[in-house]
Amino acid sequence: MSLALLRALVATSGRAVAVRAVPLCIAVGLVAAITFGGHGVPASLVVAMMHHSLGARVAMFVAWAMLAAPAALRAFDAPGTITIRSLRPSRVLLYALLMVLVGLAQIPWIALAASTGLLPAATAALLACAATTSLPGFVVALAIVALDPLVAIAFFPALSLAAFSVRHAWRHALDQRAVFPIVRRAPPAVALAMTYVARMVRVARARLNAAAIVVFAGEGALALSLRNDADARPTARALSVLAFPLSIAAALVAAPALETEARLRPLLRSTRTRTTALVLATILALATPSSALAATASVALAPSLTLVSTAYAIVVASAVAVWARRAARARRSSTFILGVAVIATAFTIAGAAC
Amino acid sequence: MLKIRHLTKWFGARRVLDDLSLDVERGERVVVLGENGCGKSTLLQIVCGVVDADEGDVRIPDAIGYAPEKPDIPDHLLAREWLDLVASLKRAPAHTSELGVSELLGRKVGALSLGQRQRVSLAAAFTGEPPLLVLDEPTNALDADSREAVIARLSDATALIATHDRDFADRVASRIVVLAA
Repeated sequence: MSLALLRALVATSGRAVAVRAVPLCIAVGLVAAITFGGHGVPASLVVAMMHHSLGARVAMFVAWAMLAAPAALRAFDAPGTITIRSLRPSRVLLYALLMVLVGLAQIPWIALAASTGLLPAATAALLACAATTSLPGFVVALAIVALDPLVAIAFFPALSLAAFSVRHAWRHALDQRAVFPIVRRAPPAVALAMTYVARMVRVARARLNAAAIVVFAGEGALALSLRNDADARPTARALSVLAFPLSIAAALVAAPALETEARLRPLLRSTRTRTTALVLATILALATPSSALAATASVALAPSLTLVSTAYAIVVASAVAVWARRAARARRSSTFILGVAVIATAFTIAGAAC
Repeated sequence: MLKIRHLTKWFGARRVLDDLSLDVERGERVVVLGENGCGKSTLLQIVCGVVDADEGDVRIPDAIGYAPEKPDIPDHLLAREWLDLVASLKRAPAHTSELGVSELLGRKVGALSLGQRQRVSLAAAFTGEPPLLVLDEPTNALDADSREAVIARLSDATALIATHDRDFADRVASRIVVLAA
């Protein structure tokens, strides 16, 4: 039974986790290779910095939980898991295997902790497993991370917490939760934009989380840059520093918007929806999360530039939206990525020249 | 109301529709019957502008209510959100009490049964009281009560309907057209 259960879980939950975790691991691996490779920063130094700074520790843990949660949660409701539930497998074995599968989504986080030893890596894996699978698990894991106890003390609570969190996630994965309506009756472009945003929020949460982290990192870099250079002109600096993060954030959420439009094509054609409404809807859909994230991050990190950041996010998202539609027609993702890089570079140069 | 002239459609080397001409007058319900693959759904998709014809001409009113064979409603939307979106695109009030969909409004479309989805899809097609309804297999997954409700709803409508349901066709049709494969 144990081997059969393992095979069934790997084929269902494992595959679903891998589909989302592999791109995440590749993306984080690339950033890590640049940061830690060659003469870069040693990974153990980053871990030491996290131990010394409560803010850095909490920020990195929350950022990681946001990035990994969409992949980890797929373990509990993947197609085929209903059949596994009906077979009533041994709970202990089931939860242990699920913890391993959820752990696969945490590989970059575990690798970072492993630079200081095996036990810290295991503890980090368990805390990340707890934080990415249930809300109570996230809250308690965050408290443990904030307290930063000795690893030897933290390991057993982390193990219990991860087991509890996985059990909680498995038991509640099929619950029908109340969903807050996003799409309302409105002019066609606005209603369509709300439909695209609903997909970002409910289906493409990983992309939205990644966009949030990129924008917050950009605003953090802007705040640091302004603090270290008292002579800098804040607006020009904001325009040049934020161009890339805002372009990347808008590009990340472009795919869900365009996929939804493709899905709605029969309806759009039968209702003769105008192309201008479609273009406007894409712009609104990309500008909504970009500007909201820019405003939030700016209020937290660079409050004097909130208005500039928000308006800039709308302008950059509009450019990315128009380019995304063009690239989608050509069906070439490489063209899209190249175009986004060109847009970001152009905005950076224009911002520096202001 | 609807004028189709010399319509031809090829899928690769296969001719699905061959020089088809058909009129639907106001108040008329034309039901298209035919075996699988004879081009019923393709005809309806061309009428709605979802698929382009290779040859021929289709003249339709400004607004159409279209319900495809497989309700292609995104799973992530609530039933209410779908009806609101369709109402927004048609610039009409949403039909939230049609075919008993009021009880489904707060539920995600992905969590609905096939029959419930079909009811939502049909309610969306009826939104805005369009002058022409184009319905593809509208009773496929419906329970008996919903089927009766659809028959009653169509009693004074102008519609082009594709179906395999012979009894349904006999009860709603003003005219039956049989497409040969």
